[in-house]
This record gives sequence, C-alpha cells and structure tokens, in this order.
Amino acid sequence: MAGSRGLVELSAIGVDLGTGIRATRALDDVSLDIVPGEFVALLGPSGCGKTTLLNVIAGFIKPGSGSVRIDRKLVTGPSARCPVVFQHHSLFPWMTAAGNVAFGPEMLGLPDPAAIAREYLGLVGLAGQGTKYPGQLSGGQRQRVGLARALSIRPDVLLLDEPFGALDAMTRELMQELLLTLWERDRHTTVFVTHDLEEAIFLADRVAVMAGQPGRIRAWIEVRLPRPRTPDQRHGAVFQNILAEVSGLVREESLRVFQEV
Amino acid sequence: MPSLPKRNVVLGLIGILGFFAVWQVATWRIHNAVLLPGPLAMFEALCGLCVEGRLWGDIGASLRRVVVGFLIASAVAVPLALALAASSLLRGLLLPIVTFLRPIPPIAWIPLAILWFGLGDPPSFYITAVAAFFPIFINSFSGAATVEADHLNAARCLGAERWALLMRIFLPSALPSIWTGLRIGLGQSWMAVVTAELITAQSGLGYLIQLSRLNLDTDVVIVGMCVIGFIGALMTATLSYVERWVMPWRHRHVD
Ligand SMILES: Nc1ncnc2c1ncn2[C@@H]1O[C@H](COP(=O)(O)OP(=O)(O)O)[C@@H](O)[C@H]1O
Ligand SMILES: [Mg+2]
Repeated sequence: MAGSRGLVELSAIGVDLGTGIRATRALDDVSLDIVPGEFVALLGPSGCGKTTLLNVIAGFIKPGSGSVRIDRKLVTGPSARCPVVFQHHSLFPWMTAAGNVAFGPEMLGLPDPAAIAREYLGLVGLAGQGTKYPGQLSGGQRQRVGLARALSIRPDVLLLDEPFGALDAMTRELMQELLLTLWERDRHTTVFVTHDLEEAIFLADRVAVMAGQPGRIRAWIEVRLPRPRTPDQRHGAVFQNILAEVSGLVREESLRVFQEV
Repeated sequence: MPSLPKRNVVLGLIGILGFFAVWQVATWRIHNAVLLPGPLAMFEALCGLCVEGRLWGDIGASLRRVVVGFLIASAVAVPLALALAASSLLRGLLLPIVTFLRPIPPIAWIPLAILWFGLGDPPSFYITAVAAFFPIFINSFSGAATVEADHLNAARCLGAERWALLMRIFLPSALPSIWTGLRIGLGQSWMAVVTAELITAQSGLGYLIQLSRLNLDTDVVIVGMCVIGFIGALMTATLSYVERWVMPWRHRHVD
C-alpha cells in the first residue's frame, strides 16, 4: 500500500472568499506535490489560508483557478478517499463514539462496521468507551475518536486541521505520538495543518511555511529526523536547528502582517 | 441541584393553594353562582360529570381530534422542512407561500373548513392540523438550516450521499428544534380544538363549555376550562419527559 496510493498534486490554486467588503484572496498561485505516504505539515499564522488550502484538497471548496489531483484524478468534491479531522465540532453528538467510527464503514457498505469501529477505537486506546456520547468524553478522547473515525475507512490521504490545537500541552504531545504510531502502521499520505512550529517539525517529513494576504507557500523545510520519531528527539540538536530556521521565517512573516495592520 | 425540583414542587403547591384561596374569597364577595361559582361548587360539578360519564366522552372526542390533526401536521411539516432546508430550489419555491399562510390564525380557517368538510370531526382535524403545522414547520426548518458545516463536511468525506446526509445528519441536527416545534405545535393544536368545537362540533370539551354557557351552568364551564388546562399541561410535560429517550445524547454530559 505505501508508495502506491495517495499522490496529491495541486497546481496554481487560486481561491477568492467572501464578497464585497469581506472579499479576500485566500490563496494565490499555490502549487504543491505530495508523494504517496509522505507526511506534510502546513504551518503559518492564523488567517494565512491553511484551512482554505486543506478544504480545497478535501474537495469542500472549488478553487477559482488551478486544479487538484489525487492519484492523477481530478478532485471535484469530497470523497471518502481523503477524510478530514477537524479542530472543533467534528464528532456527531447524536452518535456514540462507536457509532461515529462505524459511520464511514456503513456509508461505504463495508462488512461489519461495528467490528471495524471496535478495532479502530482499540487502536486509539478507547476500547471501553464505545457506548459513550461525545458529550461524555474529554477533549483528547474526542479527538482520538475523530482520528479513529477518519482512519476506519482506510484513507489514501488523511487531512487534519489543527486537530490538537485545543488540547493542553501534555495531551497534545501524546496525541502527536499516537498519530505517528498510526501513520507508521498504514503510511497514508498525511497533510497536517498547524500554527505550532514544534508540532510541525516533530510530525512531518516536510513543512510548508505559509504566508497570508494573499495566502501562499513561502518556503519548504525538509525535516531530516530519523523515523520512527521519538519524544527525546524534540530536545536534540537537529530538531533545535530546524526550529530556529523555521522560527526565523515565521517571525519575519508574522512581523510583516503585524505591522501592516 | 437535587433539592431544586422538590423546592419547586412545594412552591407550586403553595401557589395553587393561594390561587384557590383568592378564588374562594372572591366568590364570597361576589356571591353569585352564575357569575363566579366557587372552587367547591366546581369540584362538585366535576364529580357529577365524572360519575355521569359525560366528561370522558368529551375528553376522548377532543383528544382524538388533536391527535389526528397533530399527526397529520407532523407527517407533512417535518419532511417538508427538511426538504426545504436541504434544497435551495424548494426553498425558493415554497418558503414565500409558508410565510404568507403562517400569520392566518387557525380560527380564520373555520368557515372554509366547514364549507369543505361539513360538520363533525373532519373540519376539526383540519383546524388542529393547521394550528400544529406552522410551529412544527418553522422550528424544524430553522433547526435543519443551522446544521453545522463541519458535520456535513465530515459526513461527506466519510462517504455519505444525499439521502444519508438528510437522514443521518440533517434530521438529528434538527431534532432538538423539531422537538420544540412538536411541543409548541401540540399545545397550539389543543388550543385550536377547543375553538373549533365551540363552533363546529357536537361533542368535545369546547362543545361542553359552549353548551353549559347557554344553560348558565357556569360551574361546568369552569370545570371544562380547568380540564383543558390540565390536559394541555400534561401533554407538554409528557413530551418533555419522553425527550430523554428520543435524544439520549442531550442528557449525557461530563460535568
Ligand atoms: N467564508 C469566508 N468569507 C470571507 N473570507 C474568508 C472566509 N473564510 C475565510 N476567510 C478569510 O480567508 C483567509 C484565510 O482563512 P483560513 O483559511 O481560515 O486561515 P487559517 O486556517 O490559516 O487560519 C482569512 O483572512 C479569512 O479571514
Ligand atoms: Mg484554520
């Protein structure tokens, strides 16, 4: 499976959002290629167009110009080949945790959705929580269910939009490690949106540093840390050097936006 | 928290006792059983009606009209509201009609209802259905229209298509509002049945009130009114109570 499916190609994407006084050039001439099995992070300050870019890949937004292809096929709308993990309000509150995870397999007509749900809840460490409703789970547990729900349909491409942004620092690090464990297992192409520099570096093979107004990719940073990644790498020299480089870029960009306003 | 309901029950009982006390004092002052019979006279009349058996028939007739009209209204209003929320074509086509018909009070439909359906149950079914329709429709529609974009998107990228989106996302998203609509609609329908029976029916609580007024049996009029209020409150309470089985997720939260 790894190395065969999940090729993402964006060419010259342009997106305008809103009308009149709210009109924004949300993305301008964004091109990127992601090879099957690669883990890419989109990093940038809030409002720079990260969510818009992810929504374009997911097929939620039709770009005004340019094209999105997944495995050479033009993306014209949402598809079960690339599910999204959202930051907020993503679980269906009227379904139990198990119901949420079984939803995708049910929609795709896979055999025994309930068993698939059990399997994936087990993988994210929530084996005993299947009968609970999202309202009964903690923030970290909810995001784990969201992850299980997206993975249960065995995606070619997994899209995540600041999925751990609302979690406390300790939970966030554990979630990052869980995400990597699951990624090592299946090697689905992954696009991870974040504004957290360390998170982007710890997770990704490549980090796209984005700039806003209009949204575009400013620089690509290769993260040459060995896999599988381990928590102690966070404190190593390689990590810190990359962090310094990325900080410089992001700071420059944030300063520019800060002074314009 | 657990002491709060108990406190409310006590307060409610005090309020009701106070109400009867004021009523009793007022009847002593007015001293005219036709203008205002006292609570005791009313209880006597109530017992009389129960023993006679007449009251049960009237309650049954009114309930039947409400239940039939309410079910018809729900069966039309909920699917229509969901369809309008999901389709901009239907919305553009039908929403103006609903907006135009909504301000017409159910009573204003009575002349047409009699012309179309004659006397007896059918015109009452029509009136109770009209009364229930708009609250159910408006609430269901606003509920379905405020479905979370993230829920729709999440469902679509998990493979859900049109029908599944409607049944598995729009419907449960709207269910709390639909339920509010059903509660209000049932109440409106109950109020409308009494109005309809004042004019078109030969049975029911509204008819009982009307007949007793002509006979100057004011105590029976008041019995009828109290029974209407009691049953209406009971219906609302029942729907609130049933809610926890219909929407279990709304009653399970971490503290
Ligand atoms: N529906 C919309 N209408 C108008 N402008 C929008 C809309 N959605 C987002 N924007 C604007 O587009 C830009 C990019 O937004 P977004 O992709 O959400 O950024 P990010 O996810 O990086 O915070 C922002 O300036 C935002 O204000
Ligand atoms: Mg965003």
